Amino acid sequence: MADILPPVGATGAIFSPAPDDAKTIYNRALPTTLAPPGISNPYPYKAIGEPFEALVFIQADTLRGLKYGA
Amino acid sequence: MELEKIANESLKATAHHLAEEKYQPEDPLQSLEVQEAKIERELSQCMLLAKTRIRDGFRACVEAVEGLARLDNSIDLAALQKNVDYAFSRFETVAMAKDMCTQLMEGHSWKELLGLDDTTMLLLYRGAKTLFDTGHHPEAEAAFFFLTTIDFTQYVFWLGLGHAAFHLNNINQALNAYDMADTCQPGSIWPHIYMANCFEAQYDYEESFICLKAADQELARSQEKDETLASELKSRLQTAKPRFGS
Repeated sequence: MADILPPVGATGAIFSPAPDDAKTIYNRALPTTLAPPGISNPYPYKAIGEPFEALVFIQADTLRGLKYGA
Repeated sequence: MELEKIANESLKATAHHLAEEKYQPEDPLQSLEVQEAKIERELSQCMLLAKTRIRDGFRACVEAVEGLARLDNSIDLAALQKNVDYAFSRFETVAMAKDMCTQLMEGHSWKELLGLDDTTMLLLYRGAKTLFDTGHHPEAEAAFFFLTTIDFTQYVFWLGLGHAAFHLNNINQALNAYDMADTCQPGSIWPHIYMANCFEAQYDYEESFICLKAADQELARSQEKDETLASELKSRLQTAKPRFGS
């Protein structure tokens, strides 16, 4: 949990009073563990505000072609 | 091949539907056909991109895990391979694939539908995170794209996608990813701060200020008090405000 990522918002530092003060705000690591699923359906399969069924089929078509080590 | 055909038919139908919605008969330069073709082209590009990223992302994750396994004996590559190959073999027939697509549209994830276990997901995530931590941002971006495709309910997957996209200067994608992270974990502070960083990178100071304000509000509501963050946010808000006129 304690590992430090490179600053995410390097460009944002100009808006903080001093780069040192900005450190904590930017240097956040990605968590090491995964959380249990917390949401039911954020409905991400949208394009231009519409359900994007085509993308789901493309995902299926691509995933079925994947193989470990291939 | 049949799934791709269905995808293309669905894409055409979506493009037609969207073009009809957007169509303005009084604009002679934008006929319905022109609109439709334009939308179809955009959606096709989006699908092609998804296809490539899923493939590249999966490969990047696996290679990174294999690298980790060379240093960490506790990583069971054989179990990972077994689970992954079992999962992807569940697309045995087109009918099964179609059925899973329907369930996906109803809100299930590929992780659930394919039976990818938590150990596998954690390992793949460790791979993606390593790519990011070691500065391999294009590979990390693909890896997190793959992971968000597999399980869109994971806050950290969207966060990783946002971080990697930000480093690649793909700010709009980063914004979308952080927005999704916020949807996955409502009440979290960090997606707002990261979105503020994105807007700053786009010189949109007003939107950035709004995001910082939202972060501040979430922090005030939060049970966990973080005095350092609170004071940093406050001073950042004070500095950000004069950047846009009002």
